[in-house]
Amino acid sequence: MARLVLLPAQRTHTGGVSEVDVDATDVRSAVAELMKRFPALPAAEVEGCHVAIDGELVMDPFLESLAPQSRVIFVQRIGAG
Amino acid sequence: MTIATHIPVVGSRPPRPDGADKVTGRARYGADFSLPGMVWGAVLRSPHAHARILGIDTSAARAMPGVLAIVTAEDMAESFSADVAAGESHVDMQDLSRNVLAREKVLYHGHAVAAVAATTQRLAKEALRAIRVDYEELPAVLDIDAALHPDAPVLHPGMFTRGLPETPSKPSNLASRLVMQKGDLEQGFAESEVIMQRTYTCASAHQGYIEPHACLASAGADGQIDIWCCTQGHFAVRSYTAALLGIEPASIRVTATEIGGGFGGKTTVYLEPLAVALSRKSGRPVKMQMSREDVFRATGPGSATRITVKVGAKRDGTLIAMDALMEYEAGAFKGSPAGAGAMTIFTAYAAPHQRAVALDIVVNKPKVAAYRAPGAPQAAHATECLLNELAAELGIDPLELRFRNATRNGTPTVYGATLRDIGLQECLEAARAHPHWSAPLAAHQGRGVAVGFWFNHGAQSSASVHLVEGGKILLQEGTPDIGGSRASMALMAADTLGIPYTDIHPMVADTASVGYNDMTGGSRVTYATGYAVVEACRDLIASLRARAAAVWGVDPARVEWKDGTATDIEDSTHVLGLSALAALSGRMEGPLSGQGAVNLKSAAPSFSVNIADVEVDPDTGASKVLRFTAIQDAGRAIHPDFVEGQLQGGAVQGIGWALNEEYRFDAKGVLENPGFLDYRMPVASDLPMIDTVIVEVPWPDHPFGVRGVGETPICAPMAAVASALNAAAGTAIRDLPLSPPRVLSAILAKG
Repeated sequence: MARLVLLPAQRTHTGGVSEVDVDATDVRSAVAELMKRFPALPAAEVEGCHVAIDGELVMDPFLESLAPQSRVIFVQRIGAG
Repeated sequence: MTIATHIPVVGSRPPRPDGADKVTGRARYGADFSLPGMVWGAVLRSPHAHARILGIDTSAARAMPGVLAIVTAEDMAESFSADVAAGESHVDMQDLSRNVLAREKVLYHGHAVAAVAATTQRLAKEALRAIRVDYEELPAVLDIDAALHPDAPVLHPGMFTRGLPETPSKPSNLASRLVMQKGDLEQGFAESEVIMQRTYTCASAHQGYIEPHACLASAGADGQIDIWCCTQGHFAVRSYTAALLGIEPASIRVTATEIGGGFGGKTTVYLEPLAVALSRKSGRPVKMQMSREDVFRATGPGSATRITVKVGAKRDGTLIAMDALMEYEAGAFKGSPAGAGAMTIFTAYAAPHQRAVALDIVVNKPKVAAYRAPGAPQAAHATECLLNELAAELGIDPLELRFRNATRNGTPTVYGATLRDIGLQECLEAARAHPHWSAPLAAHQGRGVAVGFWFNHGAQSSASVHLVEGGKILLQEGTPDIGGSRASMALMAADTLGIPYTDIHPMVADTASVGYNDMTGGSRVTYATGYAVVEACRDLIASLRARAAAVWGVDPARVEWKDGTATDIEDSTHVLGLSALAALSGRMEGPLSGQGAVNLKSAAPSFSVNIADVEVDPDTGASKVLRFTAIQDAGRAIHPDFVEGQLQGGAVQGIGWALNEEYRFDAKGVLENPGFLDYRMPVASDLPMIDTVIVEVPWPDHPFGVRGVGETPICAPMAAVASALNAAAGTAIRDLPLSPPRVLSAILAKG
């Protein structure tokens, strides 16, 4: 099971749940499982985020593979100048 | 990935391809474009910092001879199905629409309310005076404390704080609260032998680009629209304008003109949608340009901030715990860089227990825009100044304190990523070895040191190369050239193709002539667009090898591309150069081109170390930067002149933010210094030569080892200069800017 670590703005919609274990092989399916488990979580709170997958920062994740023990930390999008 | 090791062209310092045009005046900037039949646009701006718009009467202006069109918020799309993803940032289109033209309320002095197109500039401005706007003035919210007061007037009735445990029941000026944490903060401070806490503030500062915003828009009868504008991202201009006006993006072609600076401030739109709307209404090309005063009043500066940092350490200087409350002004609409600030504030340090709390706060001031490493310079100012204070308290050399605590490969950050392939230790070693660090100081002089960090992400870029008759290469990129990228792209292309730099002719193509590109921002162009250029060249080489193989009737696997020539590895008489292959195009499969498109999802982190010497006149509080050394890991410097230029430019902007630059508002929210006479930016005579040291720790995800260099240079200077000034004056001023009156006041206060 991959573990998703949520941002505070996401936790508002998960009843305070900050970490979620999902059975997923890539980020897309992990996000789908997260949304299914927390229907009140707005898509906009998830889809605009970056993630760190096992420590590796990934911008605009989608089909990136997850290992069974992967830790996926949602990261606020970074603006740039 | 294998990084190229034999690099004959990359790393050299040839003249930039656009240099002659820029020094002879031939280069065309945003305001230099005109078309037959063109008319002029002008913008009516709010006289209030906060007011409800009760009505706008344009009838008198509309009746004036020569007035061809007027637009208000009614002419903009009103609802948007989704935010627009334009590369580095997701933009709330409701907010962007209301920033381009106020709808229900004006939210800052200078906020655009209406725009006019007329046959002359003078007539357009006269027509603005004929527009009658009825306002209900509201109390203005002008700083962080006022915004967060429980009884504060609320700027946006529909804005509820994001990031709280539960959705709040009342709207607020606090747009969001973000918390990032690693380790156990309570345990960390309990284990600490020394704990220090200080609060630091930074004033809002403008990017200070020399060229005001300008554009020309022409809407054809067939619905096709052309825009010429000075921008950091012409594809973003296309996306934003299309969304704001309800136009199909493919109907808009945007040409990025030469640009007189941006530094993040030209990553959004202000005039372009207005010019298009006016052109569609009038049927004429419409030109618009801002005055310097418009730029100051109505475009986005960097955030004003208040940051409280607490650190816990052992007596030997080992950092155990670091905590920060980071309050960032966003201006009139949410979206300050507080989050990025929180992601950078402790990244340079390996302390196991860290927390950063970031608040995004709206106030009745212009909406902030990106400014070079958005959010990071203010964060570094707080942490780095506090570490210098801690070093003094513990009697430890401040550089040694950093050596003991610097993050290393494999150290997790507070935001969740783990750093790899970084060059911080190498930068610190370069600082310690530099003669500047051990040079003597005289009376009233002080020295400061600070570390900076930025992410340098990649994102989407496209490029194409075309073989021209005669054997030269036309290179098309789609990221506006702000810092010499045409030269860097040409160097990488020349190196990949094995031909001279002067055989590459780079150009920045318009949105209809090259594939999609994210903006020139995020220090991403040399990294991502450079990668796309390398891919395009490799694509061309594959075609060239195939053509040569066909000419010789051999398997393409036998054809090698080396030094700009196809050779048959089994027959040395088989040799074909670029000009010969170009000449054969018309008798074979036709034109020879290569395409490259990448989406680099990684970030190539870089660190800097800055050393500043400052002298203070104790009688006046005036200060002077005597010496400044900027050291930074550039991955690999493709064109060292431009890398050094980035380091020097960032240092100068940071020095200005530290010593003089600030937005000053009166009690009603009117900016009091909207010009370069009163908004004091450093000029050459204020500054020493900025010494630079390029550290090269190649980034392994790029063919040439590139990591971005444009933003990290502004992260450390404010802290280095502030620490140097306080050391020189014997003061502990924690509010920027360190202007002479503030410094003198502190000197007098200590007696």
